[in-house]
Amino acid sequence: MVDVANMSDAELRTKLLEFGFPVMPITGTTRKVMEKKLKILMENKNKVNNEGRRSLTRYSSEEESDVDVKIKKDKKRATMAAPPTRVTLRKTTRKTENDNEINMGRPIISEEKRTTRTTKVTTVESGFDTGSDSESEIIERSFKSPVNNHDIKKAPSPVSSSSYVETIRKYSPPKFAEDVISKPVSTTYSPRSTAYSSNASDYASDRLNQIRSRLSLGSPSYDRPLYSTTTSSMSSKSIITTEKDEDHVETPFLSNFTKRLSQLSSNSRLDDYKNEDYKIKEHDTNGSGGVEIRSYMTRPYRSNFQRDYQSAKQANSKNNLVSFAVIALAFLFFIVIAIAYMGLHSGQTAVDSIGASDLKVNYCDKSAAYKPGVNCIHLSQLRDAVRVYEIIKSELLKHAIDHRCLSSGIKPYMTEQDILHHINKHPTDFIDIHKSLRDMELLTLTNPQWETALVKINNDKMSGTPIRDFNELYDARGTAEIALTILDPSLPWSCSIYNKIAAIIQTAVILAVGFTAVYSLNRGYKYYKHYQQKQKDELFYMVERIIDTLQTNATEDGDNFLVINHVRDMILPINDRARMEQTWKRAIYFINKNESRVRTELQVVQGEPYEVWRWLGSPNLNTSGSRNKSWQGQAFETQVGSVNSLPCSPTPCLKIRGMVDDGDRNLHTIREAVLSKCAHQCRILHCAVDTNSKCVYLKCADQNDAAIAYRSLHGWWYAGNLVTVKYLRLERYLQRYPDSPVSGPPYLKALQPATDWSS
Amino acid sequence: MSSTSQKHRNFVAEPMGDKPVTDLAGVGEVLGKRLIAAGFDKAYVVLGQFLVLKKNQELFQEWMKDTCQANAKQSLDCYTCLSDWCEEFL
Repeated sequence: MVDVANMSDAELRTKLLEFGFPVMPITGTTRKVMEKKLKILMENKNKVNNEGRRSLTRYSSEEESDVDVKIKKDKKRATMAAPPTRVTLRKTTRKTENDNEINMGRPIISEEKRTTRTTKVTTVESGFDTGSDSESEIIERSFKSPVNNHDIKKAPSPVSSSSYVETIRKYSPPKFAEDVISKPVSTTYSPRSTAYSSNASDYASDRLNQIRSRLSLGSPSYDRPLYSTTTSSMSSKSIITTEKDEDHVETPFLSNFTKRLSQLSSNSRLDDYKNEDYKIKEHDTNGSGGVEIRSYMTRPYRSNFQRDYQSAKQANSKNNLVSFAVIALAFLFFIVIAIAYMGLHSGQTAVDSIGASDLKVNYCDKSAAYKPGVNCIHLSQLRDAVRVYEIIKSELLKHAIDHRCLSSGIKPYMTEQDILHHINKHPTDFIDIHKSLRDMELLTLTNPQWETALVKINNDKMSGTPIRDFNELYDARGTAEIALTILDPSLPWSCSIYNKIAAIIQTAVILAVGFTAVYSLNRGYKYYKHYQQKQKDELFYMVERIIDTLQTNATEDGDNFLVINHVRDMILPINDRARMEQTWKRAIYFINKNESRVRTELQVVQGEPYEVWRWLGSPNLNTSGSRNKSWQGQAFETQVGSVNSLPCSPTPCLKIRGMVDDGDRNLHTIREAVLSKCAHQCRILHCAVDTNSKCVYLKCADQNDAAIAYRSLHGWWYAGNLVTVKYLRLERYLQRYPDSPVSGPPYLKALQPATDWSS
Repeated sequence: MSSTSQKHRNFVAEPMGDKPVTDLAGVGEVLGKRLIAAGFDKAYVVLGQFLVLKKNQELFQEWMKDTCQANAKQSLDCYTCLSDWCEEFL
């Protein structure tokens, strides 16, 4: 054993290289890891040799024994550091051609191309995999990807593979049949001992390369090269199969023997490859059983696949047939539909071609009912009439289509003038073109399948009224211009699609406009409602305050009246008076109409007559109820840090005592008072006055807001009472007011602009 | 991958800059201390080691184990973290 610790960096690197490890910088920090790695590699190599038994029972392979023997034989080469794989390969291929019996049915020729291509990759890969504990995992991972390929690949090439199997079958006894089938995958048949020693190492390395290239690349060529039979490998197969019988018979004994041999072999790069083989090649020595294990599939797939391999191939072709049939049916179906659809369209246009056979003609005869040129046609002129139609038909169609597709400014019809003009452009030999035209017009009336209509042009030059019978036509000829048109032309695709899209857009626009109208109406209605509600609220508030004011000013004796305008000036601040004018007027109206305790009268105040309100109600209410319902100042300090305020608020809910008196009517006033006191400072979600408990409940947006409200309310005088505030648990609050909003906005605001109480 | 930790996602989300080594997924306080003692005080130093080992998972985990006695989970986390970061920013 080499002393790893005492190696120089360069030696270490070379050594690792020898084990097929990729070149990696050996630095102060990586050296330790690399040393360890090298040790593991060396140990592993030995361990595999010594403890090979154990792993072999799991992974044992006749393959590795094969390799070992060859390594033994070719030790010189094996000890070489980083042997040039490419060269080996070349050699191998050269040899393959000569020694077919050695290659034993592995189509190395086809394989070789691939291997050379991938040599570089595989060496790197192998370096990582070699000898480490995780190696089987890595390999398994690399197995996984090929699984799909494997399955897929199988299907398209059943012919070649089955033919291969058959050829082999012919030569091999049935006992090995299954084995043989999997051979293309496992690529080996038996360990050949010393007999092939001269070529053995080449063979071995080649084999390894094959395997590694497959593993690392997960190439779809898993079975391709195996099944695709070049002529040379074909020939080799025939030889193999003859040989195989005896090989297989001796396999178990030989492999054991070679394994033992391999334990003695040392210090070779190929050993590491062999390690890999141990793990990869689960091709066991005992015949068919091992074959199952060793496949390129992951474990769950393995046995199934191998067992069902043969039947699967037959089933595959059957399955393929069914699925192909289904696909073909689907195709047929669509084709039929397409044809039917085309037929529908062409059916319409087919009418355009005029068969003289299905022409309905009113021929003129001697009877007086028929008048030539009016309602009948002479047989001799029929041909000319039809020719006129044929000439103008396409032009008519063009007009009609252009009208619908290009612009509606183009006339959809052709007047007689247009028709004559058009016909004159063509070299024609009509005897009497006018007569022919008239005959043709008659024909269009009798032949609706022409899909051409006669119209009488209206005054606006763009539309016309259709003419349906001979009499109408006759009348129209005298009075108006006659025109021909195609009422329902079959439009080209782009045009009809364009028209459809235009129609859709139009509809969409109409719908959108409709929706917008509905939506805005809805919004308008809601806004109106809201506005009305607001007005009402303002009005009631105003009225309440007026009554309050009157009540407050009323005395037992003396004149209990106030000039209306004075009341207004008392209630409304200066800057609001203009804005609240309307509300005020409505409040006056409301009081005059609905308030029985207030009487409006004319009084002379200071020499001038004024409209006044006289308070008729009991002045008792005055003292008990709403005597100056307002904040009257602070009783004690509740600023931060003072004894009376908590350092931080525990809940967002407050319970305010001392604001509600017995029999208090003006709950609204109290609520307003609370809001006006603190709503401008904090966000209040809910505020309710409860007369039973004589408390005001206040819910703020969060604890901080509650703290602000607490500070601005606690310890104040309100209407002669000291207000105390307590924090209330949120659960209790929700018990009492389950409908209170959980979060805002909207937050409550005071109707009255907040007064600055801090002064 | 939904099973990555918040730490992993945080680390992979942005260039590592001057982040301390403890910002790496899988490297906690204890491992961080050991790594700093070994001279790997910043995440980018560990990244350097990670790169020197050619992003080889096995070797990196081995190295983590050697330098700071990281267990398999920690070293794997760290490895995934760095390799994801590299995929993103390198």
